[in-house]
Amino acid sequence: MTLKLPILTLITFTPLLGLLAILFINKKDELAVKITAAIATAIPFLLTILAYAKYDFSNPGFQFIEKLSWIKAIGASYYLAIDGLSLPMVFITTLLTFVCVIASWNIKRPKEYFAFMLALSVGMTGVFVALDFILFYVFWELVLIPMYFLIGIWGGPRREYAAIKFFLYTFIGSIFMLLGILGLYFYAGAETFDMLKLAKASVPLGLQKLFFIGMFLGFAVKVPIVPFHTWLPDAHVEAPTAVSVLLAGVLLKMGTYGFVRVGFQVLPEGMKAYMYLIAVLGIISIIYGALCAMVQTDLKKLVAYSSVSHMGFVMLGIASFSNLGVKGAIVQMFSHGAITGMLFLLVGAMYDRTHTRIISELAGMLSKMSILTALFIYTAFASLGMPALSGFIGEFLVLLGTFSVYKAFTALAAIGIVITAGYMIWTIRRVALGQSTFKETFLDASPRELAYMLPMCGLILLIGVYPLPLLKLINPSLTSILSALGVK
Amino acid sequence: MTVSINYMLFLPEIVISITAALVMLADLYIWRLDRVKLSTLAITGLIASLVAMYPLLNVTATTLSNNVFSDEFALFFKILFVLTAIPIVLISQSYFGKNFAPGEFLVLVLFSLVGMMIMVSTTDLLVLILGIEITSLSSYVLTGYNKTDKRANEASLKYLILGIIASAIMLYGMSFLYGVSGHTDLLKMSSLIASSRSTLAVFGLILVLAAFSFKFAAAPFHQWVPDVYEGAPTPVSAFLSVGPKIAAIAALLRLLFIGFPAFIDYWKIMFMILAVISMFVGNLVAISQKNIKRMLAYSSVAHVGYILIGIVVASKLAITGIFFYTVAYAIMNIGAWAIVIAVSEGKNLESIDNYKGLAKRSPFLALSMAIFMVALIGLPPTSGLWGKVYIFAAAIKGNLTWLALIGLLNSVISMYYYANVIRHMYLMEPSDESTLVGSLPIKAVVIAMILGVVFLGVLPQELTELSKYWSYYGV
Repeated sequence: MTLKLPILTLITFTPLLGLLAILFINKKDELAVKITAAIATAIPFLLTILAYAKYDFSNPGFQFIEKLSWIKAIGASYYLAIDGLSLPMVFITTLLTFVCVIASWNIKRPKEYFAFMLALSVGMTGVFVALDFILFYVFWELVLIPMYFLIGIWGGPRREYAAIKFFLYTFIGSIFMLLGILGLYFYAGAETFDMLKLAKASVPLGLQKLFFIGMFLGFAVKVPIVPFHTWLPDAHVEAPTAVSVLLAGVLLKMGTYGFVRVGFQVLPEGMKAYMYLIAVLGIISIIYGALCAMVQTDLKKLVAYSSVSHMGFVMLGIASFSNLGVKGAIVQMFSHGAITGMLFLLVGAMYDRTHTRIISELAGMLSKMSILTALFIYTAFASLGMPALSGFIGEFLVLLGTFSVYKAFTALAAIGIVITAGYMIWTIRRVALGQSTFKETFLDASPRELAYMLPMCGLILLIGVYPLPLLKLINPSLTSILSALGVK
Repeated sequence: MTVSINYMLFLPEIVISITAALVMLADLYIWRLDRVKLSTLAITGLIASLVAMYPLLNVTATTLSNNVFSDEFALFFKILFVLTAIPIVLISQSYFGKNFAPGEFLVLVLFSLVGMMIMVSTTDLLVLILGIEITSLSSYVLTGYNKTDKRANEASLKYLILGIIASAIMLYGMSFLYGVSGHTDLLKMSSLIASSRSTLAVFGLILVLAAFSFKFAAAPFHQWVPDVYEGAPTPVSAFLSVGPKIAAIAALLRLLFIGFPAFIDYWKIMFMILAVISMFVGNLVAISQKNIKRMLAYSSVAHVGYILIGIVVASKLAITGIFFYTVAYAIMNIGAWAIVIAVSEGKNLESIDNYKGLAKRSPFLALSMAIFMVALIGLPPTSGLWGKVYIFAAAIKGNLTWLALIGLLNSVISMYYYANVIRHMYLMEPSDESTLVGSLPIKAVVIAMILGVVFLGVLPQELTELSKYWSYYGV
């Protein structure tokens, strides 16, 4: 599909223009900074919708391709393109970035904050659209520094520890990913970093497994797969609200997207060899994440562990190597971004008012802030996979896909859903119902907050009831990728 | 018998020597202690030397009975040296005053530059020693330039004594090489030594390489660096960390690949060990440093370690990586040192604690330092990434993946102390809230270096193509 616009470059780099504009605005002129940031993130979102509208659903391959030679000496090119797997990710990224800008309207030191957030946005979007391994690596690493600053400056009491832990952990993971990339580059002998060309090069199985292990470590830290997940509770809890939303909603998806793109297209035999191991790790993440969430006293930490659990579902779906399973994984990635994003926004909204995240102290919120609590109940139900909301679609498809391959794991995953339902409903009871310990009245959701919360809730409902817009986007590309591997 | 001398080949050195003489005379007779006029004269001379390099493009020739060997390899480094000397002159401006005479300082820097240029444009061992000595002697004096500062005196004396010992060892090693081959010219020596395979030659080579490792400060020959970089006036530390270091590496490239490619099995192992030790010592000890000059000193030891990986691999890609790395390293380092000068405010405020809250006191300086720290870690989108990618990729390609893994892990370790500076600047409160404004020359240098770092980070293809040009050195 040809558009006269280099739409992917615009989607990825408009925030950079916003960043440059912000650098020149006086830091006292806070409104100008905020409006610039809002525009710089709204434009990519609108362009993503445009891309969806112009997307050719009959073409399973890559579209909106932009390819320029970048570093000829090593064969790295500036290669952007999307297909049915990456467009949902770009959509959720641009949506959440815009939402986070609006959600952070009252942040202190807005100039630096939005500067870092826009830099972060470039990296996040770039990962999903890059088809050249070096470019992919550059965007992957690009998110580290802004995230470090965002958590380290605007975070909670243990922010320095959380920021440096996140940075170190993810950096070490990416080191191994770089080793895998470079290894693949040399042994494929293709003299290019183009992902698709490297996919066609024949690499012996032993080496494929080796390179996949390198990439696995890089992606596994991001997903996060147990036992590489220990950075997540700290980072999520200490980060400011909007940054937690981006961490959970987008950064985690970078890891799983890496598995889908690299695992299914570039190193399929390598990943297939570790299929069972990934499924096991997925199940462990589901159950362990859910159990950890159950015992939390801090609401934000509970949501963080629930993220670990939900990402376990994604990994299970990917490891099933079946059309339904991977489709469920991608739907789950999309819906989890929206759902967990909403959860963090709501927790943040409650914290802004009550200045506590401890569940026992947050009792009786239904009487204090009814609209916010109603939304919280709604989102918590979405999170546990209530049918008619998007979480169900993802989890159901994953279970369907996994059932034919690993019956035992499907049973365990279903038990995981029960545990999730358990702690979520228990949390709803503790937070919404009961007698509040607070004497003062709180402001309920402001128009600004409703402006971004209601559309997100609408999106969750839409995909839950009518997932066709998402599924018809994923299906062609997914089917073509998997059929090349001989998967029906 | 008249010998025709092709003066064009060492015209840049002549121009710089004349500039130095002019500065000296001007300082004595006309512009006493006038730093602006003297610096302008020095910079004009440096730019003139760049012009004088123009006829040397595409020329490979020798003169003075093969003692001067000018080719584009030499030209690359000569241009790099001049381009690093100009920012050094600019960032020294705030130091010049009654007790820090600009005249002699500029003269010494210019002479050091001549020495570095001689080092890279020769294949004769004796001329190499000449170049090394000119550079080193100027460096010794520059280190102790602050006559009243005890640390400077100590640093200068340490550097002098250790440097002289190193030069002596180098000469001793070279005497063996001469003894075995009967020549001092590398081009004539290499085939003779290769065929003789004499143990004496290997011994001589090891001595020479050890002395070289002192000059560019690879561990465990690095012990002088922290004290010298800390004690010397900061512009001198900046100069030492880029100028003589890179010159020594360039001379090493010539030595190893022109003179002794036959002994690659020996020096490969030696540099493998030096590389690993340099990286670990540099990065691990830097973590505990409280003085930023010492931290940058240890960081430079680590960076030499990364470059040595390239020498160990010795492939075409590795040589490309080494060239790219030296340019990227020079830019990042000068930028970082420039900010160290700005923050120390002439009062020797060199502790990392002085960087607390710099983001509030001077957003510009803090952001610039953050960019240079990120570049030194080797993260995209800065120039520091590509040098490391090329060298580690070369290691993987050359079946030395373990070396690449060590290099990458060391990058992670280094992240800790570079991020520590960023942490102080952004995450901590300043001890005094006064705004800090860098002087104009410092700001100009910092902006130029930032542009260099970001440009090379986002668009590395030009420099990569240029570096690839010399990859024929690799095996």
